[in-house]
Amino acid sequence: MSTIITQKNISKVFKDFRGHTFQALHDINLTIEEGEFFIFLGPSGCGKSTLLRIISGLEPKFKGSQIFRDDIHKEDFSFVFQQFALLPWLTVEENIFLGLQARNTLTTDKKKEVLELIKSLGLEKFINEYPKELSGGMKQRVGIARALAINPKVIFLDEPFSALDSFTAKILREELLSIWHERKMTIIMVTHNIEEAIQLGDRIGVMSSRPGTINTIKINTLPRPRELRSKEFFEMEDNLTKLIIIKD
Amino acid sequence: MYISNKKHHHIVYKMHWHMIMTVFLVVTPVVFFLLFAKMTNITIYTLFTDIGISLIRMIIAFIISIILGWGLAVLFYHGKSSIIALPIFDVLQSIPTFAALPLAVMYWGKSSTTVIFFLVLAMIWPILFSVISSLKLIKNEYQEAIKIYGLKGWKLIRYFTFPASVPGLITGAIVGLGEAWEAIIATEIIIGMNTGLGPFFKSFANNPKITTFGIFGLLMIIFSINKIFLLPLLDRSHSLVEE
Repeated sequence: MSTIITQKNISKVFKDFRGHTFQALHDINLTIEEGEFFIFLGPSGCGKSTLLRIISGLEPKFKGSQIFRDDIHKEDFSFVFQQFALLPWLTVEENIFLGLQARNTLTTDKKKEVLELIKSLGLEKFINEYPKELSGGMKQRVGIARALAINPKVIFLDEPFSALDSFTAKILREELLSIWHERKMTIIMVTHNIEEAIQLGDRIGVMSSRPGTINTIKINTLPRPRELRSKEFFEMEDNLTKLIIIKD
Repeated sequence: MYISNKKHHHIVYKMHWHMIMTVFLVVTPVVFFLLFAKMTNITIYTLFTDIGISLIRMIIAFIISIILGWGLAVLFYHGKSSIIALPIFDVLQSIPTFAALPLAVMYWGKSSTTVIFFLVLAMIWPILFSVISSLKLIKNEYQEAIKIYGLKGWKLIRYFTFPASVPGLITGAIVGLGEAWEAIIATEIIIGMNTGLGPFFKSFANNPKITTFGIFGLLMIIFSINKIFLLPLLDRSHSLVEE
């Protein structure tokens, strides 16, 4: 594995309309390795979503430096949003093909490939539906399909399962893991769910708030597929809980 | 019987009822004006010419207002340019348009161009500000989605800006048309046009019966246009942006 993203001394200050400032992130130093599943874990308001937006390029204003490996470009990034962000006036199919349309890469072969992806995510019956006609779980499947359709090297996920019920979230976590194993892309995800972080992540960046910093990066050595009810899993959950509670 | 376009998932026609209503809304004003012409001894040609000419002026002004209002809104709804442009638009829309009437007459004379110019001034502002409002209400996540997928240029308009602006466009068009009906009669009378609804009402100003029936007929036309075109479009546009 080689480093694809390096962040040095990243800080971010927000200013409200009254001119009051708020330091969202302070002195973040981080590397992301190719093909890893990296998780930012922390309580609400610790700046994990802001950090994800900085890395993905959605938040262009920050202090510090961010270096990408030469072969990693903006076009290699994809994003899965917490509230799905599916354009409501487009059908499921149009939403999924949006990235390919934008990049003028919608060839016949590519279309076949994406239709396979749509089938594998169980969306083939819904391609002519509008997002409002889908359940939350199906909407997020569309969000994941849209993100995967452009064959990204890096996928960013901002609390992708937090708006879903626990049963749907569990199924989608397993599907995401299976896609990651198959495609070997890099995944950077934000969550406040400790169990989710342990189940999915190779490394877990534990963050604390005011200002947002990374306290520690835990390497998750539990063997995959991870047994959620194992002693080791619970031990790790306890350790992470303590870290978050103590530092916050 | 329902004819449903599965792809867009909207009921296009509730067939019989829709057909009956459409025919009723088109035929009733026509029948009304035929009876009106007969009762008041106005020739059908004169009556329908006056209505037709005013409608054509309205349609031309409406198309210009839609293109200009929507285009300006899309260009200036956000970013640094909006800081300068929006206060200017606000001042311009507050200018009493009839104050500029003598100038316009001096420039274009007693012509349809002058009438259309004033109709555009009446319609453009509600369209522009409604579209701006629609675009400003777009969820930040949608903006981020199009940014991450790199939607630009014509495709940005086709897949994002235009659909997001449609509810504002329709709302603005409804309000703008309401103001334009008032403006067209006044402008045609003030500048002394020879044809159109303005001169029609002016020539029967001393006949309350004809004036009353004329206003009633005009309201029937407005009601039919709203019922057949504008209100269904408004419903559809709002249903499109529902999540």
